[in-house]
Amino acid sequence: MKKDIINISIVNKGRLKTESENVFKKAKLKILSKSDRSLVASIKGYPLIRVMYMNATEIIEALGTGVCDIGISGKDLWRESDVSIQSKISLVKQYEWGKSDLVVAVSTSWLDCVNPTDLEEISFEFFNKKKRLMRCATKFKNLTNEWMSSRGITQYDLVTSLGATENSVEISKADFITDLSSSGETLRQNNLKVIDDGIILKSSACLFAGKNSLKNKEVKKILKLLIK
Amino acid sequence: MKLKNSFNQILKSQNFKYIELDSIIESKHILKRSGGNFRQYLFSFYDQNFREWSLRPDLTISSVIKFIKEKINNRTKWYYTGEAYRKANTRSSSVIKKQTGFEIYASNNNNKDDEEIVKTSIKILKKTTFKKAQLNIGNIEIFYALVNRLEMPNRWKERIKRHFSREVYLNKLLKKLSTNSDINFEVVKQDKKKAEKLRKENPKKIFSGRSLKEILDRFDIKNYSDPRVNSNKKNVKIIRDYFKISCSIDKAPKILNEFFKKNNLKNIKILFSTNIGRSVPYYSNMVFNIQVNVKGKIHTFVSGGRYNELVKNLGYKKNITAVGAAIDLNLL
Repeated sequence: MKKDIINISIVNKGRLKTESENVFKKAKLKILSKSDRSLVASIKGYPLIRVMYMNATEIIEALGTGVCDIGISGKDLWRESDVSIQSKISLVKQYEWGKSDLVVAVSTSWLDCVNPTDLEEISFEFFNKKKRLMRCATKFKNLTNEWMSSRGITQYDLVTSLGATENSVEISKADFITDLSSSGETLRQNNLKVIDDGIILKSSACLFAGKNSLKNKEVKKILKLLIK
Repeated sequence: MKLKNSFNQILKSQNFKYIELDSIIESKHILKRSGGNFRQYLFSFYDQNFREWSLRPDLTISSVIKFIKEKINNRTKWYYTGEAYRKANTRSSSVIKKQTGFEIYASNNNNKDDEEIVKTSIKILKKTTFKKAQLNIGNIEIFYALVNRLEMPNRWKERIKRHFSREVYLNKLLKKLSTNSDINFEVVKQDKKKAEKLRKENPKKIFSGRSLKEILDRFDIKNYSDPRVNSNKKNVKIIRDYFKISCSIDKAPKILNEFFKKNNLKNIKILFSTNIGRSVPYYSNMVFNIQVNVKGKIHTFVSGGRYNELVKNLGYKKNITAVGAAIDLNLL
């Protein structure tokens, strides 16, 4: 009987790549790659395992669509993904690295805005006085909408940001932002402050598996090694 | 089907005119002007011009939009039947809500039309096979009157009134109010110092879409004009006790008047009240529902109320009154 190949995805660059490769090292799984730029690799002694290097967001999609069985990516990206994707993925282990918080940040000059109830009131100020909705720049539309809704904030517009979200307020693209922050330094440098109760999600790198893949005994074996 | 037809016959005999409603609504009508409470339930998408549209989450909003488009000024009685689409909280709940709704716009006599809507609802109920039912009637204005008479900062009064229709969130707000946990006194101390520095700058200077004057005015109201009152715990208890009131309608005035007297809230005349109508953000005055028992569980079969603000909020230039009700056909 032909055995299926198990696909494992890890991030293709940066610190997350190094940390993910360390997880394999600790599990005594040696990744064999043809070159530094090669995006597909194998594991010594496991001919039926294929390692695929991907973008962190793509890893979540690949897990949800069944393209890969196991993956290491960010919790934030998993929680932000579409419900149809999210519901098909199991979080197996949350790591202590790749940590960052998704936060709500406003201008430090907004002295009167210290918590979500202030933000809600200010949103009405925008609507009633400026005849427009308060704008929030973000890469995380779903998580932001969820947080706003849970805090009773409804009068706002989301502005999509693909990068450098922190400068959206400075360049008047938005009135406040939600973005990932590790130390808070970038926010401070851009005259932004996190409001009280403004942490939307505490994120870090996680080991994920496709729910369907978990039915496969070989996948379970590999996961056991990786979470040791 | 047979029951639905008999409902329609009742409505026709009461001179309600049948109308067809659009299946999709531009999302801004729902999000920006009706309180935004529906955001989490919307099935929405974008057209070729990047305008966001949603499957109608509620038939009343579609009906009001139609009323506005047709520029009607005189008393109008409409009914409609169809499906509303909302994301459900639980896996087992259906996303399709079958409803029949009926409304009276531009009332000449609000009380008479309120009565007609409630009486028509009861007529419809009588056509069903439900063995027991309960009619609950309330008035949101009484809650507003209660909050207005409590001793607390104005911004808190407005917050509480604004979130009457969000039961879970209102509870969170009340908790914050009772514990003063919305204020971090250490941060306030630092911000006061910063404010003094900023006062020297041009008040017209814009910071993230807001003028310095707007920021400082609100800062001053929060930290100087609105004193933190010690009675917040007591106020929260009064509000929570108010929501517990539920009694027969003939006893309501007495019970409510006693409640206000007990809490030392004077100058308020009570007609009746109960704690209902809290899931629909646009009700503003009389609210009612008819509850029935289906397989041992209580369900709301008819819910309705007055929404005088909604027509104006959705863009009509004149003040047009409206009262209506919706029947949950899924229960049949």
